[in-house]
Amino acid sequence: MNYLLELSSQMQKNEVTMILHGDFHNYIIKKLSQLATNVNNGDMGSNLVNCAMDCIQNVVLSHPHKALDPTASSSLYMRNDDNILQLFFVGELFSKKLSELESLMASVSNLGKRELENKKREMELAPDSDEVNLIDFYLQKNDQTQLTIEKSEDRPNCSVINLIIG
Amino acid sequence: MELNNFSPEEMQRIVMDEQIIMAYSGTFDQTIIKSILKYVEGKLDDEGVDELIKRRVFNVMVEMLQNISKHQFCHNSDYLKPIFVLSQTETHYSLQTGNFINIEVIDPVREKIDKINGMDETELKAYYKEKRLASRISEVGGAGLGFIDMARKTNNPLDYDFLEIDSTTFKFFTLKTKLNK
Repeated sequence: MNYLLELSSQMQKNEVTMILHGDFHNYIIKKLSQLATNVNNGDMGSNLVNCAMDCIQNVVLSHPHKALDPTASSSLYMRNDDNILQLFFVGELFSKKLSELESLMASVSNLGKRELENKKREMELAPDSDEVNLIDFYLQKNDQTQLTIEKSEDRPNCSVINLIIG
Repeated sequence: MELNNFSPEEMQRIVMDEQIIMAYSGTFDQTIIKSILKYVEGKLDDEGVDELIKRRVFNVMVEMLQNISKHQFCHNSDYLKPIFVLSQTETHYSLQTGNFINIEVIDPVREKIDKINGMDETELKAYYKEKRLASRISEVGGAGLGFIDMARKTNNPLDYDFLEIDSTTFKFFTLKTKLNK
């Protein structure tokens, strides 16, 4: 089967609109957030998309909480309909860093707005404050927005960081 | 949208095997096209790609994306959506599109591409001029110059196929252009 036909069929089956592969760093993330906003018909608040991208950039991909193996490129899969944008990062993940990220998420995900703001102020004073983006993300997100991590036992090279923006 | 039925393994295998940088499948409107172009431009900038190569990739992409946007709605919506893929190897970039095509127009499209593929650079230049002067805007808004322009910009033959699908009216038209780095 021609790979284009196969890919098209797989994308449709998985309801994926876009796949991006390579290194994702600052400049690319900026372009990516514009693309993500437009692919979603501009319905989605671009601030939230930008914030989510910053979160992925700084919390998932950068020091000190880098979860994806820097020597291996990762892929980003985007699904969307009128109300929801879902992003999956697929790549080789460092389990230790993932655990750190998960505990950080667990420590902030249930905080109320005031507690998040206090936490943000605390973190802004710290020399290494990448976590601020994660706090910003939780401050801006609504009830439909989720950030989860799927660690796959049976497919070690295909772990998924799953971000749903509603 | 079912949020939990995501199985990326097959897609990831294709992405890795084919060295894909970007794949988009869905509706191709002007906003999407502009965003895709900006993303790719940013990506090529970021990788320090030579200005001339970058311009060529960009121009061929514009032609291919415009082409797909003109022909994306001429099929049953139950079928696959049109697709655009950009990939790269050490020596070249590949741009590919896939969309449905009515079997009635396959022969003219095949003849057009075969004729272009049989021409050298000088002949292509002359043919482009001739076509441009004689061009009549076609029903879908193009002047039929796209394929000639793609061949001129890439300096490589246009690779195409008409793939069988489960339809008596349509086939899946794939077009691949290759730009040397």
